[in-house]
Order: sequence, then structure tokens, then C-alpha cells
Amino acid sequence: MRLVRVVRLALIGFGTVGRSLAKLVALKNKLIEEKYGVRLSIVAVADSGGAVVKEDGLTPYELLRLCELPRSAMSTFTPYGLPGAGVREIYSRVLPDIHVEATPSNYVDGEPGVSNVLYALESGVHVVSCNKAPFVLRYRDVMDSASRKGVKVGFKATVMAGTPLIDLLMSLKGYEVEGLEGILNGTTNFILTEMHENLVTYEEALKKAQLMGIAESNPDLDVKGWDPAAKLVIISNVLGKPVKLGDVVREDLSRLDVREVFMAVKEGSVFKFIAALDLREGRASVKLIKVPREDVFASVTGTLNAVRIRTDVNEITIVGKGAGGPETAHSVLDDVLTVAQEVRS
Amino acid sequence: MVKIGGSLLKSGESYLSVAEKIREKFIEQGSRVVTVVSAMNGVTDDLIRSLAGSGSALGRVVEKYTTAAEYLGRRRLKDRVEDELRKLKLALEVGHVHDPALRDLVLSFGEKLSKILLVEALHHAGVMAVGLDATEIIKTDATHGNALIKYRETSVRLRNYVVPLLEEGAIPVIEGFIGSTSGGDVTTLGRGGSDYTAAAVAALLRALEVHIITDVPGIMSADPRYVKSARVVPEMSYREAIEASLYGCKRLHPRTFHPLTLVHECRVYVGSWRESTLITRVSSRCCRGPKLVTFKLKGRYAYVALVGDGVSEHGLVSKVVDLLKYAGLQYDGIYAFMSRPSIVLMFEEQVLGRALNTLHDLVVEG
Repeated sequence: MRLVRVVRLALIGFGTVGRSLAKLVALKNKLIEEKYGVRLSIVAVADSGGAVVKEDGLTPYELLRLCELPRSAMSTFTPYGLPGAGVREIYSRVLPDIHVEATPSNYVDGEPGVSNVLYALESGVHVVSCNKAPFVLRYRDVMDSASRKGVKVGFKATVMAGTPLIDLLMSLKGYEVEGLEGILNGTTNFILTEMHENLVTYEEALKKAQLMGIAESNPDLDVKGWDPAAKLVIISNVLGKPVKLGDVVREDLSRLDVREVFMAVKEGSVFKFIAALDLREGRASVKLIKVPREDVFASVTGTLNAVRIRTDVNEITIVGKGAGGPETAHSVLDDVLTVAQEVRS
Repeated sequence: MVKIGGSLLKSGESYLSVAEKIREKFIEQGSRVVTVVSAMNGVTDDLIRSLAGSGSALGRVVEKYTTAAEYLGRRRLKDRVEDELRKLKLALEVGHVHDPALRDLVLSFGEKLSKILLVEALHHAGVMAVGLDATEIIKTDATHGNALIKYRETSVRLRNYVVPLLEEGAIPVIEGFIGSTSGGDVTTLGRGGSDYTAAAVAALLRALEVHIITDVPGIMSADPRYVKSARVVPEMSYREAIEASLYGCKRLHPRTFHPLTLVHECRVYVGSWRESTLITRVSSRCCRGPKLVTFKLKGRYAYVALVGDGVSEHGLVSKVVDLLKYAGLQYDGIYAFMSRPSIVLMFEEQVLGRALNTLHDLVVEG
């Protein structure tokens, strides 16, 4: 008989990714248990309206029922709902093994992500996050706190979601990474693809993206370049040459006129929203750039992402899906399992 | 496996009565049930009309679902339904009606909303139900509007999604008619799509029975509009059911039997809550010989088919020929292949009624 170890998760944030993750745990737990000898048990879920706490773990049925609730209605879930409860209250009732931070990224003051993550680390709990803000604004503090407490931090879901760019960068130990550039935002790439393929205006393309659940109702974080800029900052932190978010030069995609697109197509090129990081100069930017049709980036369409890493030895290009609830949730789950396994050994 | 047809879903009230019936008929009998649900009555047609630009058709869809949601109460439910309807309107606004992927996305809302309502109704009836998304489970090829289910991919997902729920005693409810490609685009399965979903899910989960439930009793021995003495056929085989559907019997699409023949056979009950036809791989009782008579109009001819295992054998063919001669019915052609369970006769359209009655009363019933 193989021993099954129960790993308790607190899931903070219950938007698209949080819900996808809850579903994933509900439905794949059996598989995970067989494969890794770990049973994931979600003991708490929180959204902006309150929390649900169940010490011996929510069942698959309960998790799926939670997913049917509208946003911020978590606390109405009887009998485990706690209106207004936040991370502190949850921790006072049940101490999880892993804290999963899935609240929205806020680049103004980083809240609630920054406080939640730091609180969890200081409580001696491992953290896995898909919220970018703590790793953009307070990377050093987060890492220091983790090493002081001897706990792990996983955040590979923050960049390119399902495509393991962070893992790849961390594994390039003998290389000197000089810089990288690429398409780091699926939403804007989808909009651009629509504009080029159907020659529609930015507004129409955005509407379709919203309809497909790709763009948020307020698309500013994506189209004004905040999201890819934040990802560049995280990458720069991982590579040990930090760039500040405010120093990333950004352009606004919504300014692109369909006539410019038409002209570009005519001369055999396409517009791409390219995020670039130059580590030698310490410069970063997110700009609309015309790339020739033969370029790798030109063939990266829809919600796909792609990055070209330049090192002192070679160039590495990696292409994959970079957003979406299920993709991000899988990436979070990967981190959770990695942490769960490392903790055991 | 229970599949609820759209003809039963006409109002909030009907969702409740369907839920009660599912509880009585299956859950209280100790069966482990997976439910597949269609869109509300007439909704898919209205969605097709609204794709063609009809505002009134869209109005009817919105009206139907909002009223039903109001009837079932609960603020939360209404919010969810309104949220989906808002997405539907947005989808129609985007307006590339020629984009088949978008078209399928629009059509999928009928089933999605219906599922939300049925899950709520089941809760009212005290059943532990939970909605699953067909787009996450039913994987298909990319033939928008008429997609084929990929059994292997779907099977893996069913095992992950449905089995743990059944073990916990919950009743999963899945939308019929819709699926998604490997890239995640929504697809629809074409005519009879919900039955096809139900059959595929049942076969892949190795279920014992599939109940396809609508507001009409099972498969009739003849079209009751023409033949007064028509009655429900108690039992038939997959082969006979496929043959009947090829010659105009509209109850089942031939594709329904594909997973049942290829993956795993189940006992299929087609009918209303009260009365149904049992369809099995091989008909069990006695029953070779004519089961029903059906027809298809083409040009000025009516193609009338006598369907039943063994009817194309010589004895019956000559009996039919004799009977028609005796009844003074002129036919313009006849074909019967040994390999198929049917005899097909061509008649002028004006004698159709008499031909159907004669064949039904003297051959099927005789």
C-alpha cells in the first residue's frame, strides 16, 4: 500500500483562475493521488466578499457547487460560508500547507496580493501565486521572507501561464542571458490577429475577444501594456537584474488604426505587440512593432505567446499558450505539486 | 443515462416536473444517473433565426429563459441566466454570421442556459445535482455545425469529471448538442445532436441504459396522422432503428447508434415518461419480421419502407407483392436488399395514405 499524504490548500481569490483551479482539483484529484501519492484538500476558499472554510476539505461536489456561485458570493455557501472573512480569519481557523494566491494583479499598491502572500510566508506556509503584483513590486521582500522561514514560493503561472518560461530561464545556469523579446500577452495578440485577418477595427476585435472570454470587460491592463510590462519585470527579477515597472516604456494598442494594419499587410509585414528586455542596458519596453511576415513572431497568432531568449551562446525560441483559466490553473497546479513533493522529501 | 428532450422543457414549471420525475423514476430506485439536457422547446430554431438577424427571435429566447429563471426563484440563478444572456447578445452583436465557429458559439447558449435551469430545478427536488460543461468534456473534430465526437479524448475527460461525482452520489448534468475542438472552439453536433451526446456518454461510461425522453411515446409502427391504428413498437434492434431513421422516421438520428455499436452497447429506451420503445443491439424476443412502416417524400413519389430484421427475405417480399395486387394498389418500384432490414416501395403520392394503412394493418399487424 502506498501512503497518501494529504496536502491542505487555501485558495485565495475566486475569479476565472481560482474557479478553474477548484474544478481541476475536484476532478483530477484521483489521478494526482495515483500518480504522486498526494491528495490535495482545499480547506478554504476566499473571494472579496468572504470565505468558505472546511477543515477536512471540500468534496468535489462542493467545489463544483462553489463554481456555480456568482462573483463575490462565496460567503453565502451554507453551512461553511463566513461573510467578510479574510486571510487572517482563515488562518486562525485552519493552517494550510500551501497558500494559493489567485487574486487579481494590482500594480498600484499590489493589494490584496502583497499582504496576503507576505502574511502566508510569515506564517510559515508555502505560497503558489498567479497574482503578478507581489513579484513585480516586492520581489526581494517576498524571497527574503520565504528563505528566512524556509518555505517555498512558486510563481511560474505569472508569466506565459501554461508555457514554462520561468522554469526554462531558471535552468539556464551556465548561460549569460543578454535579453529577450516576444509576445507576452495573449489578449492583445488575439486582437491583433483579428485585425489582420479580418481587417476589422480595434473596437470590433476587442468585442470578439471579450465575447470569447479572452479580454476583460476593462481591457486596460492588457491593451495599455501593463500586463506584458509586469511580466518583463518578473523576468528581470528572476534573472537577477531588476527593472522597475515604472521604467518600462509602454505603447497603447488601442491607438492602432485599421488603415495602418492594411498598409502593413500590403507591404508584407504585420504588427505585433512586442515586449523586449535588454539586460545589458537595463532597458525594457512594450511596443507595437512591424515584423516581416517571415519572422517567427508573425506566425504566432491568436492567444499564443512566444519568446526569443538571447544568450551569449545561442538563441532559444519558445512558443505556447500564454493565458486562459484552465492553462493558468494547470500551471498553478504544477507549482503546487512541485512544492508538495519537495516538502515530502 | 437520462436525456431530456427540449419538447419537455417549455417553462420553469416543466423544469421542476422533469426534476421530480428524474428523482422518482431513477434516483429513488437507486440508479446512478448522468443527465444530458437539450435547449428549451424551440430555442435552437430561434437562435438560428436570430443569427439571420431576427430581433424578435432573440427576444423570445431571452423571454423564455428569464421567465423560467424567475419561476425557479433564487436571485443567484437569475443573475447567472442574465449573465449568459448578456454574453449571447454580445455574440450576436459581433456579427460575423458567416464565421461557423461563432455560429456554434451562439447556438450553444440554448443548452447552456437549459442546463443551469435544470440543475436548479433538481436542487429544488432535493437532488444533489451539479452542472458540468460539455465544452470541457465532449471533444470533437472541427466540423462546425455537424461535428463528430472523438471518443478517446472524451472518454479520458468523462473518467476524470464524472466518476468522482457519481462516487460522491451527485448527479452530473451535461449539455447535449455541444462540444469543443482540441483548440477549445465551441462546436455543435448537428441534428439529433443531444441524443448523440447521450449515447456517446453512456457508451463511454459503460452505462447499462440510455433513456431518451420527450413528450411523445416511443417509436410508432406508422405515422399516426395517416394510420389510426398505429401503436408504439415495444422492441427493436439498432439496425432496425437506423434503417427506420434513414427512411423518414424522425425520432432518432442514425449517428446516435454509432458510439453504441462501436464502443459499448446499452439498452436504449426512447419515448415519454410513460411509454417507450426499447432498442437493443439484437432484438431479444422472437422478433424478426416487420416492425413498422415509414415513408419519405421525394418529387412526386413516396418511398414507403417496411422495416424489420428479415423482411427482405423472399417469402415476405412475395407476400407483400401479392397483398398489394389484391388490394389494387399500384406501385412504381420495389427494392429489397438481403443485407438490409427493409423493403422499399415507390408509390405515387396520392395513394400514400392507402398504402400505409394497407401495409401497416396487413403486414405489420397481420
